[in-house]
Amino acid sequence: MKDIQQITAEIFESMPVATRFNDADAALVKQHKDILLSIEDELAKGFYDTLYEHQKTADILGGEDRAKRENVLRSWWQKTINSDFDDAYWEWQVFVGLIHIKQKVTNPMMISMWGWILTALRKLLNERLNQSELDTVMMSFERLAATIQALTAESFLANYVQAIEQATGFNNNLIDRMVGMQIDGLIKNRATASI
Amino acid sequence: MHQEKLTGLLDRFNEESRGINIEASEIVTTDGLSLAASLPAGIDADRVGPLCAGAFALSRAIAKEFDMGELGQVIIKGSKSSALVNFAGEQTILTLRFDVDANIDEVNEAVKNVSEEIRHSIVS
Repeated sequence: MKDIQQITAEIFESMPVATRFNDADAALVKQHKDILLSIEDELAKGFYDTLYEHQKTADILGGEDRAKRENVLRSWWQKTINSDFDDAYWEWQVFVGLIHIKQKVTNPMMISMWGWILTALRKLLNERLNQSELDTVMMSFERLAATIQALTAESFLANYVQAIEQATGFNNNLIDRMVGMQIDGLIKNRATASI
Repeated sequence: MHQEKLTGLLDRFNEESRGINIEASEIVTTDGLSLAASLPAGIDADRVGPLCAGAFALSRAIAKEFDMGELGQVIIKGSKSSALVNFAGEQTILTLRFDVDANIDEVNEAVKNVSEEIRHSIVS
Protein backbone atom coordinates (compact mmCIF):
# COMPACT_ATOMS: atom_id res chain seq x y z
CA MET A 1 0.00 0.00 0.00
CA LYS A 2 1.30 3.45 -0.95
CA ASP A 3 1.74 6.02 1.78
CA ILE A 4 1.16 9.76 1.48
CA GLN A 5 4.84 10.45 0.74
CA GLN A 6 4.84 8.00 -2.17
CA ILE A 7 1.58 9.35 -3.58
CA THR A 8 2.91 12.92 -3.32
CA ALA A 9 6.19 12.02 -5.04
CA GLU A 10 4.39 10.21 -7.89
CA ILE A 11 2.04 13.14 -8.51
CA PHE A 12 4.94 15.61 -8.62
CA GLU A 13 6.79 13.37 -11.07
CA SER A 14 3.74 13.45 -13.37
CA MET A 15 3.56 17.25 -13.49
CA PRO A 16 5.76 19.17 -15.94
CA VAL A 17 8.14 21.28 -13.82
CA ALA A 18 7.02 24.54 -15.46
CA THR A 19 3.44 23.98 -14.31
CA ARG A 20 4.37 23.38 -10.68
CA PHE A 21 4.56 25.94 -7.92
CA ASN A 22 8.27 26.77 -7.54
CA ASP A 23 10.72 28.54 -5.22
CA ALA A 24 10.27 31.89 -7.00
CA ASP A 25 6.50 31.58 -6.48
CA ALA A 26 7.05 30.83 -2.80
CA ALA A 27 9.28 33.91 -2.49
CA LEU A 28 6.61 36.04 -4.15
CA VAL A 29 3.95 34.81 -1.72
CA LYS A 30 6.28 35.65 1.15
CA GLN A 31 6.92 39.09 -0.31
CA HIS A 32 3.17 39.86 -0.46
CA LYS A 33 2.34 38.06 2.77
CA ASP A 34 0.75 41.03 4.54
CA ILE A 35 -1.54 41.94 1.66
CA LEU A 36 -2.53 38.30 1.17
CA LEU A 37 -3.34 37.82 4.85
CA SER A 38 -5.38 41.04 4.86
CA ILE A 39 -7.93 39.63 2.40
CA GLU A 40 -8.73 36.57 4.52
CA ASP A 41 -12.11 37.86 5.78
CA GLU A 42 -13.41 38.64 2.31
CA LEU A 43 -12.13 35.33 0.92
CA ALA A 44 -13.71 33.29 3.70
CA LYS A 45 -17.06 35.11 3.43
CA GLY A 46 -17.29 34.81 -0.36
CA PHE A 47 -16.13 31.19 -0.35
CA TYR A 48 -18.77 30.04 2.11
CA ASP A 49 -21.49 32.27 0.59
CA THR A 50 -20.90 30.36 -2.66
CA LEU A 51 -20.95 26.96 -0.97
CA TYR A 52 -24.07 27.67 1.11
CA GLU A 53 -25.94 29.04 -1.92
CA HIS A 54 -25.57 25.74 -3.79
CA GLN A 55 -27.70 22.84 -2.54
CA LYS A 56 -25.20 20.00 -3.08
CA THR A 57 -22.33 21.78 -1.36
CA ALA A 58 -24.61 23.16 1.36
CA ASP A 59 -25.75 19.59 2.08
CA ILE A 60 -22.14 18.59 2.73
CA LEU A 61 -21.60 21.52 5.08
CA GLY A 62 -24.72 20.43 6.96
CA GLY A 63 -25.99 22.30 9.95
CA GLU A 64 -22.58 22.96 11.47
CA ASP A 65 -21.87 26.45 12.75
CA ARG A 66 -20.76 28.67 9.83
CA ALA A 67 -18.00 30.40 11.83
CA LYS A 68 -16.51 26.98 12.62
CA ARG A 69 -16.63 26.09 8.91
CA GLU A 70 -15.03 29.38 7.91
CA ASN A 71 -12.20 28.68 10.33
CA VAL A 72 -11.23 25.67 8.20
CA LEU A 73 -10.58 27.93 5.20
CA ARG A 74 -9.03 30.67 7.35
CA SER A 75 -6.63 28.19 8.88
CA TRP A 76 -5.73 26.77 5.44
CA TRP A 77 -5.18 30.27 4.03
CA GLN A 78 -2.95 31.34 6.94
CA LYS A 79 -0.92 28.14 6.80
CA THR A 80 -0.57 28.49 3.03
CA ILE A 81 0.55 32.13 3.08
CA ASN A 82 2.98 31.44 5.94
CA SER A 83 4.14 28.14 4.45
CA ASP A 84 7.66 27.21 3.39
CA PHE A 85 6.00 25.00 0.75
CA ASP A 86 8.06 22.05 1.90
CA ASP A 87 7.23 18.32 1.72
CA ALA A 88 5.05 18.57 4.82
CA TYR A 89 2.90 21.25 3.17
CA TRP A 90 2.35 19.23 -0.04
CA GLU A 91 1.69 16.03 1.90
CA TRP A 92 -0.95 17.93 3.84
CA GLN A 93 -2.69 18.80 0.55
CA VAL A 94 -2.63 15.09 -0.37
CA PHE A 95 -4.20 14.34 3.00
CA VAL A 96 -6.98 16.80 2.11
CA GLY A 97 -7.90 14.40 -0.75
CA LEU A 98 -8.42 11.67 1.83
CA ILE A 99 -10.61 13.91 3.96
CA HIS A 100 -12.65 14.86 0.87
CA ILE A 101 -13.52 11.18 0.33
CA LYS A 102 -14.70 10.94 3.92
CA GLN A 103 -16.76 14.13 3.67
CA LYS A 104 -18.04 13.35 0.16
CA VAL A 105 -16.50 16.47 -1.33
CA THR A 106 -16.16 15.60 -5.02
CA ASN A 107 -13.37 16.70 -7.37
CA PRO A 108 -15.77 18.93 -9.40
CA MET A 109 -16.63 20.71 -6.15
CA MET A 110 -12.96 21.14 -5.23
CA ILE A 111 -11.87 22.25 -8.71
CA SER A 112 -14.74 24.68 -9.19
CA MET A 113 -14.03 26.30 -5.81
CA TRP A 114 -10.38 26.66 -6.81
CA GLY A 115 -11.67 28.56 -9.83
CA TRP A 116 -13.69 30.73 -7.49
CA ILE A 117 -10.61 31.41 -5.29
CA LEU A 118 -8.53 32.51 -8.29
CA THR A 119 -11.25 34.85 -9.55
CA ALA A 120 -11.79 36.30 -6.08
CA LEU A 121 -8.05 36.72 -5.54
CA ARG A 122 -7.65 38.66 -8.79
CA LYS A 123 -10.55 40.93 -7.84
CA LEU A 124 -9.34 41.53 -4.27
CA LEU A 125 -5.69 42.01 -5.20
CA ASN A 126 -6.58 44.32 -8.10
CA GLU A 127 -7.42 46.97 -5.51
CA ARG A 128 -4.12 46.48 -3.68
CA LEU A 129 -1.42 45.78 -6.32
CA ASN A 130 -0.37 47.45 -9.56
CA GLN A 131 -1.07 45.59 -12.82
CA SER A 132 2.39 44.12 -13.21
CA GLU A 133 2.51 42.88 -9.60
CA LEU A 134 -0.99 41.51 -9.92
CA ASP A 135 -0.14 39.53 -13.05
CA THR A 136 2.98 38.04 -11.45
CA VAL A 137 1.23 37.12 -8.20
CA MET A 138 -1.70 35.61 -10.08
CA MET A 139 0.63 33.45 -12.20
CA SER A 140 2.13 32.10 -8.98
CA PHE A 141 -1.33 31.38 -7.58
CA GLU A 142 -2.35 29.67 -10.81
CA ARG A 143 0.63 27.32 -10.40
CA LEU A 144 -0.26 26.84 -6.74
CA ALA A 145 -3.85 26.04 -7.74
CA ALA A 146 -2.72 23.54 -10.40
CA THR A 147 -0.32 21.87 -7.98
CA ILE A 148 -2.80 21.56 -5.14
CA GLN A 149 -5.65 20.48 -7.42
CA ALA A 150 -3.41 17.75 -8.87
CA LEU A 151 -2.39 16.58 -5.40
CA THR A 152 -5.89 16.62 -3.96
CA ALA A 153 -7.66 15.11 -6.98
CA GLU A 154 -5.07 12.37 -7.56
CA SER A 155 -4.95 11.58 -3.87
CA PHE A 156 -8.74 11.26 -3.92
CA LEU A 157 -8.49 8.68 -6.73
CA ALA A 158 -5.42 6.88 -5.36
CA ASN A 159 -6.93 6.52 -1.90
CA TYR A 160 -10.30 5.47 -3.32
CA VAL A 161 -8.65 2.71 -5.37
CA GLN A 162 -6.46 1.66 -2.44
CA ALA A 163 -9.54 1.34 -0.25
CA ILE A 164 -11.13 -0.92 -2.90
CA GLU A 165 -7.91 -2.96 -3.10
CA GLN A 166 -7.86 -3.47 0.64
CA ALA A 167 -11.57 -4.22 0.95
CA THR A 168 -11.71 -6.73 -1.91
CA GLY A 169 -8.21 -8.17 -1.96
CA PHE A 170 -7.94 -7.17 -5.66
CA ASN A 171 -4.40 -6.13 -6.48
CA ASN A 172 -3.60 -3.01 -8.49
CA ASN A 173 -2.85 -4.93 -11.71
CA LEU A 174 -6.15 -6.77 -11.49
CA ILE A 175 -8.06 -3.51 -10.99
CA ASP A 176 -6.16 -1.96 -13.93
CA ARG A 177 -7.06 -4.95 -16.09
CA MET A 178 -10.74 -4.81 -15.10
CA VAL A 179 -10.89 -1.05 -15.67
CA GLY A 180 -9.15 -1.49 -19.05
CA MET A 181 -11.65 -4.19 -20.00
CA GLN A 182 -14.62 -1.97 -19.13
CA ILE A 183 -13.15 1.11 -20.82
CA ASP A 184 -12.53 -0.87 -24.03
CA GLY A 185 -16.19 -1.92 -23.91
CA LEU A 186 -17.39 1.64 -23.35
CA ILE A 187 -15.24 2.98 -26.23
CA LYS A 188 -16.51 0.20 -28.49
CA ASN A 189 -20.15 0.95 -27.56
CA ARG A 190 -19.60 4.65 -28.11
CA ALA A 191 -17.98 4.04 -31.50
CA THR A 192 -20.80 1.70 -32.52
CA ALA A 193 -23.43 4.22 -31.39
CA SER A 194 -21.83 7.04 -33.38
CA ILE A 195 -21.68 5.08 -36.67
CA MET B 1 6.77 -20.77 -23.74
CA HIS B 2 4.68 -21.29 -20.60
CA GLN B 3 1.56 -20.33 -22.52
CA GLU B 4 2.14 -22.98 -25.20
CA LYS B 5 2.81 -25.63 -22.58
CA LEU B 6 -0.22 -24.62 -20.54
CA THR B 7 -2.51 -24.50 -23.56
CA GLY B 8 -1.41 -28.02 -24.53
CA LEU B 9 -1.93 -29.16 -20.97
CA LEU B 10 -5.46 -27.69 -20.82
CA ASP B 11 -6.45 -29.14 -24.19
CA ARG B 12 -5.37 -32.58 -23.00
CA PHE B 13 -7.12 -32.08 -19.66
CA ASN B 14 -10.41 -31.09 -21.32
CA GLU B 15 -10.20 -34.04 -23.70
CA GLU B 16 -9.59 -36.49 -20.84
CA SER B 17 -12.22 -34.90 -18.60
CA ARG B 18 -15.17 -35.04 -20.97
CA GLY B 19 -16.32 -38.22 -19.28
CA ILE B 20 -16.70 -36.41 -15.96
CA ASN B 21 -18.60 -33.47 -17.54
CA ILE B 22 -15.95 -30.73 -17.37
CA GLU B 23 -17.01 -28.23 -20.03
CA ALA B 24 -14.42 -25.46 -20.00
CA SER B 25 -11.21 -24.42 -18.30
CA GLU B 26 -8.86 -21.49 -18.06
CA ILE B 27 -5.57 -20.71 -16.33
CA VAL B 28 -5.05 -17.11 -15.22
CA THR B 29 -2.59 -15.20 -13.10
CA THR B 30 -3.80 -13.77 -9.78
CA ASP B 31 -3.91 -10.36 -11.46
CA GLY B 32 -6.27 -11.66 -14.14
CA LEU B 33 -4.00 -12.28 -17.12
CA SER B 34 -5.22 -15.24 -19.15
CA LEU B 35 -2.37 -17.74 -19.65
CA ALA B 36 -4.32 -20.49 -21.39
CA ALA B 37 -7.97 -21.24 -22.06
CA SER B 38 -10.15 -23.94 -23.48
CA LEU B 39 -13.56 -22.31 -23.59
CA PRO B 40 -16.75 -22.78 -25.64
CA ALA B 41 -17.34 -20.36 -28.51
CA GLY B 42 -18.72 -16.99 -27.38
CA ILE B 43 -16.92 -16.93 -24.03
CA ASP B 44 -14.09 -14.41 -23.95
CA ALA B 45 -11.04 -15.60 -22.00
CA ASP B 46 -9.89 -12.01 -21.47
CA ARG B 47 -13.18 -11.19 -19.74
CA VAL B 48 -13.56 -14.40 -17.75
CA GLY B 49 -9.94 -14.35 -16.53
CA PRO B 50 -10.02 -11.11 -14.53
CA LEU B 51 -13.44 -12.02 -13.12
CA CYS B 52 -12.13 -15.38 -11.86
CA ALA B 53 -9.04 -13.70 -10.40
CA GLY B 54 -11.39 -11.18 -8.75
CA ALA B 55 -13.62 -13.95 -7.34
CA PHE B 56 -10.54 -15.64 -5.94
CA ALA B 57 -9.12 -12.42 -4.47
CA LEU B 58 -12.43 -11.52 -2.83
CA SER B 59 -12.87 -15.03 -1.45
CA ARG B 60 -9.33 -14.93 -0.11
CA ALA B 61 -10.17 -11.68 1.69
CA ILE B 62 -13.29 -13.33 3.15
CA ALA B 63 -11.25 -16.38 4.23
CA LYS B 64 -8.80 -14.06 5.95
CA GLU B 65 -11.53 -12.15 7.80
CA PHE B 66 -13.17 -15.43 8.81
CA ASP B 67 -9.82 -16.81 9.94
CA MET B 68 -10.25 -19.80 7.61
CA GLY B 69 -6.59 -20.38 6.80
CA GLU B 70 -5.24 -20.44 3.23
CA LEU B 71 -7.94 -20.36 0.56
CA GLY B 72 -7.79 -23.34 -1.80
CA GLN B 73 -10.97 -23.26 -3.84
CA VAL B 74 -14.09 -21.23 -4.63
CA ILE B 75 -17.29 -22.93 -5.80
CA ILE B 76 -19.82 -21.01 -7.91
CA LYS B 77 -23.09 -22.89 -8.39
CA GLY B 78 -25.36 -22.03 -11.29
CA SER B 79 -28.63 -23.64 -12.41
CA LYS B 80 -27.04 -25.11 -15.58
CA SER B 81 -23.37 -25.40 -14.66
CA SER B 82 -21.05 -24.82 -11.77
CA ALA B 83 -17.54 -23.48 -11.64
CA LEU B 84 -14.52 -24.12 -9.48
CA VAL B 85 -11.87 -21.44 -9.06
CA ASN B 86 -8.74 -23.11 -7.69
CA PHE B 87 -5.39 -21.98 -6.48
CA ALA B 88 -2.94 -23.75 -8.80
CA GLY B 89 0.43 -22.66 -7.53
CA GLU B 90 2.40 -19.46 -7.31
CA GLN B 91 0.18 -16.60 -8.57
CA THR B 92 -1.82 -18.97 -10.76
CA ILE B 93 -5.51 -19.82 -10.76
CA LEU B 94 -7.28 -22.65 -12.56
CA THR B 95 -10.97 -22.17 -13.29
CA LEU B 96 -13.23 -24.78 -14.72
CA ARG B 97 -16.88 -25.06 -15.56
CA PHE B 98 -18.67 -28.36 -15.19
CA ASP B 99 -22.17 -29.70 -15.67
CA VAL B 100 -24.50 -29.64 -12.63
CA ASP B 101 -24.75 -33.43 -12.88
CA ALA B 102 -20.99 -33.93 -12.61
CA ASN B 103 -19.62 -35.85 -9.66
CA ILE B 104 -17.80 -33.24 -7.55
CA ASP B 105 -15.37 -35.78 -6.12
CA GLU B 106 -14.29 -36.81 -9.60
CA VAL B 107 -13.98 -33.17 -10.64
CA ASN B 108 -11.89 -32.40 -7.57
CA GLU B 109 -9.62 -35.34 -8.20
CA ALA B 110 -9.07 -34.17 -11.79
CA VAL B 111 -8.43 -30.61 -10.54
CA LYS B 112 -5.89 -31.84 -8.03
CA ASN B 113 -3.97 -33.74 -10.70
CA VAL B 114 -3.99 -30.99 -13.30
CA SER B 115 -3.07 -28.32 -10.70
CA GLU B 116 0.01 -30.36 -9.90
CA GLU B 117 0.91 -30.43 -13.61
CA ILE B 118 0.32 -26.66 -13.91
CA ARG B 119 2.58 -26.01 -10.93
CA HIS B 120 5.23 -28.23 -12.45
CA SER B 121 4.91 -26.54 -15.87
CA ILE B 122 5.28 -23.08 -14.40
CA VAL B 123 8.34 -23.76 -12.29
CA SER B 124 10.15 -25.86 -14.90
